[in-house]
Amino acid sequence: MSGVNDLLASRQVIVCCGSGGVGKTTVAAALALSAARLGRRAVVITIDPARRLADALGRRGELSNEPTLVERIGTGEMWAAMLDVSTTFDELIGRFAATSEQADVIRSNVFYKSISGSLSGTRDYMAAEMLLRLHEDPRFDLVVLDTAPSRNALDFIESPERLVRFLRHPLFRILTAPSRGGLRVIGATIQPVLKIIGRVVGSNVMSDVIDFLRAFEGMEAGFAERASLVSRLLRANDTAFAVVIAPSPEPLNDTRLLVERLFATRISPSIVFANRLTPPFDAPSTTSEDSVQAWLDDNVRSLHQRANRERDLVKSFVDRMSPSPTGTVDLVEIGEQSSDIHDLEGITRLADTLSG
Amino acid sequence: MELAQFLTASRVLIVAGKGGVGKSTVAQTVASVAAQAGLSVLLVRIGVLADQTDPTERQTTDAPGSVKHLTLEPGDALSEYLSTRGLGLVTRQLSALGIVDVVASAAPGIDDLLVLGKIKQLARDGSQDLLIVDGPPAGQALSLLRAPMSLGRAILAGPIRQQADEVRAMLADVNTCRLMLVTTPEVTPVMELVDTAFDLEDELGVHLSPIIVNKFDLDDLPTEVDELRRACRTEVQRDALEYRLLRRERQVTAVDELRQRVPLQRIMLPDTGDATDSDRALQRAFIEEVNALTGDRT
Repeated sequence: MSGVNDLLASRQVIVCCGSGGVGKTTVAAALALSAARLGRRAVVITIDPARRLADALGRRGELSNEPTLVERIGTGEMWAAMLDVSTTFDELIGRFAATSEQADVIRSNVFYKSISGSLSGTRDYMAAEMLLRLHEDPRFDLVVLDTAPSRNALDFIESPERLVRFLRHPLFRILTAPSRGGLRVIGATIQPVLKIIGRVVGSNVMSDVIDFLRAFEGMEAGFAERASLVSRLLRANDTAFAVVIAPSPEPLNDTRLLVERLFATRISPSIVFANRLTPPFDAPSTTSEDSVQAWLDDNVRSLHQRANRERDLVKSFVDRMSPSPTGTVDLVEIGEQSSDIHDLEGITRLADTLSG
Repeated sequence: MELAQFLTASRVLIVAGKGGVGKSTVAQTVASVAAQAGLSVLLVRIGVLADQTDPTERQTTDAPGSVKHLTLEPGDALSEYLSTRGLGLVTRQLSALGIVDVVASAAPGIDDLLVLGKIKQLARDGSQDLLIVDGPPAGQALSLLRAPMSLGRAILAGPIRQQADEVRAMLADVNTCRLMLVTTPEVTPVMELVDTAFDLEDELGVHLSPIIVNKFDLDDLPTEVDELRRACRTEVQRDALEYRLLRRERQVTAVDELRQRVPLQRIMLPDTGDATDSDRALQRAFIEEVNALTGDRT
């Protein structure tokens, strides 16, 4: 288990990724708690926690964007926050707008409202922004981020850069060029096409987009700088990526794709948490005539087989990950917990398992 | 209830559940059972992760039990839609410029709507007896199914609006569409399912089929628990028994919670531990459970 403690003692950022339903949020929370035990001031950012877990971490009322102190252990502290996408975006706009009027225009734009509220890409981008913000916050020396399960699991890493690409795109300049009347001055080739799209999706939609882009003018530089800071932080030596898996073939395949794409963006996970494993049982060698004895032995045998199947799945997953470009990958096996984790006590038990 | 009656109660069956509950396995099981019952079945997957080199649609028929497979990528739905409206060349230029993405972000849910529109079209053309949709995870299923409603509010006229209205009608029509929610017998997924179920029924009027409780320990104990405990001769027998009993107890607690909160029947599928022969076991269990369903609510 020294791999975990090394990680917790030495890193400033730990990003937990994996597909939904593997217990990523609870592992992230247990990591923050374990770090606090080592004397660190750790904050866990959850993205979409189950309600009871959020209640457990929130302590005094709802968990929100503003970190709450969950537990103080000696000099260590565990804090928790929950990403609030539209608040984070609003604050970001406030920060980079030249005037408060500009910020207000943007916040009341219809297009802005729809992207800041409901788009999964925005959520990923704001998770990255919040990671950066808490990393810069002097109250914390370790940020543990629980990433959202998304259709494209790399959205989180790529989203800041994607926004910048979009803002620097020539199209952006064409659309935001000073004009007297909306679409009229836009290049002769694009104009009829925009009209057609407008007819399909509703004419107000395109003009909302253009209004938004105009209102955004001058803020690209600030956003671009932020995006490159995030990008650098994600690839920094003090940042570790942890992959959380559960021994079930479907999510494992999804996670394998995710890891391959992480490698492709020059990010190598350094640790794998295999969660919810059946504990190992030694298979009985005898067979019994007695039906109750036979049942008891069958029970041991089937659990033994299940545990083996699960470990084979995990092993082939980890084998296919390494050799990672940076060397070894630690594997931490976590047995199935005796109860569903939805409170601090459960997280504490999980943290006990992690630190060995 | 007769299996055939259950399977043909609606032409579209959307299967949804939190990641890791075995939603795809369940969709595959129902598809195989239906195919073996002599129905022509199309299994539609939505939003396959990552691999963006995937074509928008992939249709294969080589699967067992003559189930046809189709994959729909929401990310490409708008481009495809524009192409089918005679804007193919222009759309490619627009995609290259990123305009299509901007439009898709401007009207969030447009891709989801178009995917549902495609399903509606497949249901309407009648070439399949049953369309089984292996949907996205629970949270995303909500936003997928909500898309027609929220877009209907944002867009007042035009073909997208019409599409939204038609898809809403399909979702709310008992004879066309049912939603099958899948959970495992654990408290967290069950609670999430409870929230999802009520939201979907209230907001969309979508008809819920019996809930699938997957990976449930269905085996009968050979005798009383106390007797089993006394019969243990080895440490490992004892540990394995206690482990098993504890798991069963947790599962029963979670299912009780579900029973109390959601007034729907349940179909219990066994925990096969992803063993190699699990397909058949799941199919058999599914058929038995459907036969045991009561009443007229399918």
